[in-house]
Amino acid sequence: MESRPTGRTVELLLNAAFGNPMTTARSEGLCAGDPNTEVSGVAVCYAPTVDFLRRAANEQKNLLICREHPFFLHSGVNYSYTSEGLEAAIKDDPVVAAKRDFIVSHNLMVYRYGAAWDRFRPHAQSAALAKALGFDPIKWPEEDRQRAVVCDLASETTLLALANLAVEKLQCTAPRTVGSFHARVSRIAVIAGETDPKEALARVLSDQKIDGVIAGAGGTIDEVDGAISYFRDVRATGRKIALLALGYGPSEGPGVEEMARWMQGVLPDLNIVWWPAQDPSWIPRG
Amino acid sequence: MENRISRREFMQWMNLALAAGASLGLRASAQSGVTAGEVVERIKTKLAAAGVAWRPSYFDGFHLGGPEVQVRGVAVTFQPGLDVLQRAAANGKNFVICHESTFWDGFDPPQVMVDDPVHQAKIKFAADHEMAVWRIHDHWHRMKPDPIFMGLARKLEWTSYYDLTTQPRRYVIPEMPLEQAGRYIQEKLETKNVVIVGDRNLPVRTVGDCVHILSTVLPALYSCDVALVGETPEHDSFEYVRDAMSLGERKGLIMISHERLEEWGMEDFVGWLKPIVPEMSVEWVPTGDPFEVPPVRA
Repeated sequence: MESRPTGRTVELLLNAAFGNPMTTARSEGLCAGDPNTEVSGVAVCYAPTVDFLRRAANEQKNLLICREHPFFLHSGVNYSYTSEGLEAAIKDDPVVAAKRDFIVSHNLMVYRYGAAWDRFRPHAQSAALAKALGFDPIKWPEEDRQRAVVCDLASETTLLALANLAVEKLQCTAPRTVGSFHARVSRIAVIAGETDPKEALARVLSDQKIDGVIAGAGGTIDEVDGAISYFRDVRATGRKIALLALGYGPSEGPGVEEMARWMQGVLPDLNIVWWPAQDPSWIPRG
Repeated sequence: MENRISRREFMQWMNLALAAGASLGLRASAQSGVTAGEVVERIKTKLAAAGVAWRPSYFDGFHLGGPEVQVRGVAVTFQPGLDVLQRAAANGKNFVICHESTFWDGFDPPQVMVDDPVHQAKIKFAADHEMAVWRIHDHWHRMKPDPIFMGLARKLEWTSYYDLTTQPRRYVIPEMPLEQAGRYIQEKLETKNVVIVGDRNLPVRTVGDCVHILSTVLPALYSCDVALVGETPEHDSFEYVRDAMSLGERKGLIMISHERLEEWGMEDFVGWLKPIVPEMSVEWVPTGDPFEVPPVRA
């Protein structure tokens, strides 16, 4: 009987392909499970939710590769306000304990490659989001490490039309705008995830032709809402620009699919599937 | 780092900028005869009388202008965005008292964005209008009970339901489904921007107070039906509640903007301030919700 690779083997192959970038990141790589377990199947998803852990067990895909952390430890590289006190807070958390027990009792392995993927391909998440919405990002210099991509739309449109497009293409359920949703846009910056840090948003917006931003969520890295407050000030200078926030998870989904495709190329002998996530949020309407 | 400038250097630079602005011949306006520094001293005295002695704070203090600014009127706000400064100036107010940061960060490190055109535009606007911006964050929160959250309770018309004896604090409200609770909050806080994770029919009897991050959301979720939070990271708080629900927990999360969570407590600062600055006009300038909700075909 042919032997299967272990989680550790897959990790080594992926790390080699990434160029072994993860020397300083925390909460990356193996997050839970025994890496010496043979891999029965691989699924890639945005967040290793309870539902995906159950599905992995049911479908005998014991290696789950994710963008987020199973125990909600998002901050991988640097200190972030959002991670303040979190490790202590989850120490005895029942949800974390239940997930950890489930992973162990079902011989699952959960690996996280969030910061690694972003360092390896800084534009991948945003470019994939733009393409999922039907936009072609303008070419950017290889040395440009910003996350955002810029797209010229085929014709001017409104933020409302873009929001409806995102609902259709990404099934996002709680889009929001900064500025009127009737605002017309023609050149947009696309930023998967949060708009923070503000410095990065400011660099992107130095292109004065940009009149729209599509992002995942507001900002919490700069304390609470740094980049969104900055964006409001940009508008207050008189610049005609508006922002559409799709929801964090929906904005990351296309990039996670892209990461799964790339991993399939690195690991051709394994069948790697991508599991799209549903947006859990909603807004009372009507 | 060698290329950083200190807050003191920044303030010295700002004072020069203000002096330059003043020398350009600004629009004449009624002066109160009181400086911003004198107003601040009166605030500190009143805080001390209420048991909040002034202590060093990274947050609280002058963020634009300085204590020498002659006050023409006071604008109280939550976040001193450029549009807030513009509205304050349009109403003849040149001393802005705020709760949050001027330069888009909790600690307002001016060196980070000092070359940014929006940063410069904000400084120039303040200088051109002889403005000062003074932040009171930590010290206002230290008042008992915390006026920021009492302001929210007032605005929600839930003051009589507010239980300050529990940790975290919570509202014990007449039971209603989660969706109805969301609509109620939309109506009372005058915003559609109420994002919810949870079963629409979840019976909500207890609503836990929390601020912005998962480590503060968790205690509220442990002890209440739902947590009411201001602009929390979706990548952890939303996913936590999703997982809790999958594990059979009957929990929900209601996310509103930072502004709509906390600005009502600064609205109440107006009434607190007025008696100690009778020689000047004091006005509430709302920051407002940054987010609109588009009518998508969801």
